[in-house]
Amino acid sequence: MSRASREVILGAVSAAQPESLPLPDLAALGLGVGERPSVAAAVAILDQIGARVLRLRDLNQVRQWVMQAHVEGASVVSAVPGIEGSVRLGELQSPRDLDGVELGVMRARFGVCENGALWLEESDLAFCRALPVIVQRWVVLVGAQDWVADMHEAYARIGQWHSGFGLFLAGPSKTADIEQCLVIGAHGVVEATVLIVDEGLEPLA
Amino acid sequence: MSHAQAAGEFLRDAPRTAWHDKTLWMVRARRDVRAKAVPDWEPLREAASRIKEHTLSRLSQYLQQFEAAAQANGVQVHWAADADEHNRIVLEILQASGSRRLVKSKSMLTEECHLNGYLQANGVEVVDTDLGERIVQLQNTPPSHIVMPAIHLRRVEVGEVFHEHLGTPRGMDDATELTRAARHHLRGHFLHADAALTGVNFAVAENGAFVVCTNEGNADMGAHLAPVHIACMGLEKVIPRQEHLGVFLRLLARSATGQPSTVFASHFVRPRPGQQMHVVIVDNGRSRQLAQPKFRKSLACIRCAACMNTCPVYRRSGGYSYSYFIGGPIGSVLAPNVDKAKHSDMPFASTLCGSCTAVCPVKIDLHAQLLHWRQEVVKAGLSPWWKTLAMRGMQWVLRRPARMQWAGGWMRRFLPLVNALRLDPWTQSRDLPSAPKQTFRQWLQKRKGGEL
Ligand code: SF4
Repeated sequence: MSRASREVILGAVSAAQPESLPLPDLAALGLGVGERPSVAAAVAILDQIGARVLRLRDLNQVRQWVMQAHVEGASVVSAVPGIEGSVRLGELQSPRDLDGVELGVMRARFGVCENGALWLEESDLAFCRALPVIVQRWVVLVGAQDWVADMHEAYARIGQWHSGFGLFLAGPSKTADIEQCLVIGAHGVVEATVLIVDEGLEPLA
Repeated sequence: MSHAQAAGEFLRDAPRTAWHDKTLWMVRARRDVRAKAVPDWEPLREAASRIKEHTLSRLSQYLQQFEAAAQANGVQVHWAADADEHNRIVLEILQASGSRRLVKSKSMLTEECHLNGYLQANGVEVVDTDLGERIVQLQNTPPSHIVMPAIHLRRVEVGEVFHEHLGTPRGMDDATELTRAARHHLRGHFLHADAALTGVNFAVAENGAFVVCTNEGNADMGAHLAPVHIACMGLEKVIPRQEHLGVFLRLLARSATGQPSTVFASHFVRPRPGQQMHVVIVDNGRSRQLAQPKFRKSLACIRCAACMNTCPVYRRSGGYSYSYFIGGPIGSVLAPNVDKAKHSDMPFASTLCGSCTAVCPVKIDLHAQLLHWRQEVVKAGLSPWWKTLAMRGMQWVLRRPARMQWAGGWMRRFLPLVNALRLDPWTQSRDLPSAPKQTFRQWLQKRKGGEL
């Protein structure tokens, strides 16, 4: 059934499509002109979209920050090497077991200044794709140097990648489906913290 | 019911209409602010438009390229010529994997195919997980807007729905409390789902990846927990290269809600170990639209709904006033291709002000297409008899200067009567301006002092 439809559809599309038009040259169209967004712009946007931003010196400070969450009684799961959680990802039977875990710690490959989005690949989630969405709060580390101006630079940086999954994550989940009232925390996290780390982060593989 | 009649129903509740109008205008204003903050906004729209035009001109090639790349990634690709076949394919996947509980994130395509009813009739539990969609699903009604499905409802009404179906306390109408209740209720469904169905915002031909954008995180929650992921896409969703995502993602959220980006833009490449991942590519009339040069560009739509939010008719008539499940300018351009007779009055539900065309991030000439559809509808003999009669009359009058002269004089004298009788919808709520003392012809004659 499906096989026959494939031929029918592709035949109909081939017959219907107009004469081939050229692929536009994006650079020639003037994309990326004007002032380039900076990390300061990203911080302002993250604030607008409901994420907290902290600037930390190094991994030690990050550890202390996470430790503080432990002390306050939160269950922590970490996908960042060198940062210990109270729940070990390797011991989970299913990603569903993360339901109820309070804090998820991850590290983004880079951030995008124009919209505050952070790029994470499957390996940055310890291969638990549900991690950024199933925990109650997330904290994402990103190097102070690891920022690109806009989405064009972002895809240039991603280039050919080999993960099975990757995402741009911009702030805590939200909805405005009831009377356009903004509510932070729809299905994903209700609280998001971005830690911009000045030094000492290992280069990502 | 005609669009005008249905709009009349909606307008009966004046405070609601005013709220609806104001709220969508607020979304439009947010879009403006965001767009203006992007210095290369217009080049971006131009790029998006040209990428889409290029893609449509080589669509069969890109579809095959996407298919091959996705298959190489371990994704199973299915083709559906129409809605029935789409529904059958989804059911077969569910049955073959023994799935009885399905969680869905927003997909206008499955709305188009009436998938929910079909699956339910076949014993599948279907739960829409986008908050707005869940609300209207519990109410047993369709979404009234493609991005904000429950925009026609007030908080109190949502409270009533939740009280009845989710057992929240009667009278609870705080948006945060209601959202928390839905979060709790839906989390249960996510954790026990056998399969997840998502839409597709963009499918990348060069690497077989597909991107799903949400704010709530419901697509991710469903797809990453369930053992089976089915992604359904119209065949126009394919784009040639990954780098083109940069163009479209910059435009989409800004145009839709005035956000700099959606919270989640998830790129699915391969299934996770042990998971099944399926993509269903659907035609359902799209190749027919592609064959029509005047309407082809409508397939470039990225479903941001900016044209709906800005439309003075949509804002004041509501999504349910349109006979097709997508309303507003884009709905009115898509619907006649599906069924010209059934949706014959949709292209007329517009002032042709062109605001839709001005905001569209992919530069679809919406108002021009609306006009083209009007011509097609009339040509097919589908316009109402009184309109045809009026047009014939007009034609008859305008053909001869003498008739025109006579009719002009007549009109001037009877205008007060037209206003007094209020027979047509226009004069029911406003007066025609009072007629000048003399016709233009008389005035000109007097000025020139003699014959013309
Ligand atoms: S037609 Fe343009 S403005 Fe309307 S929904 Fe589609 S992309 Fe958005």
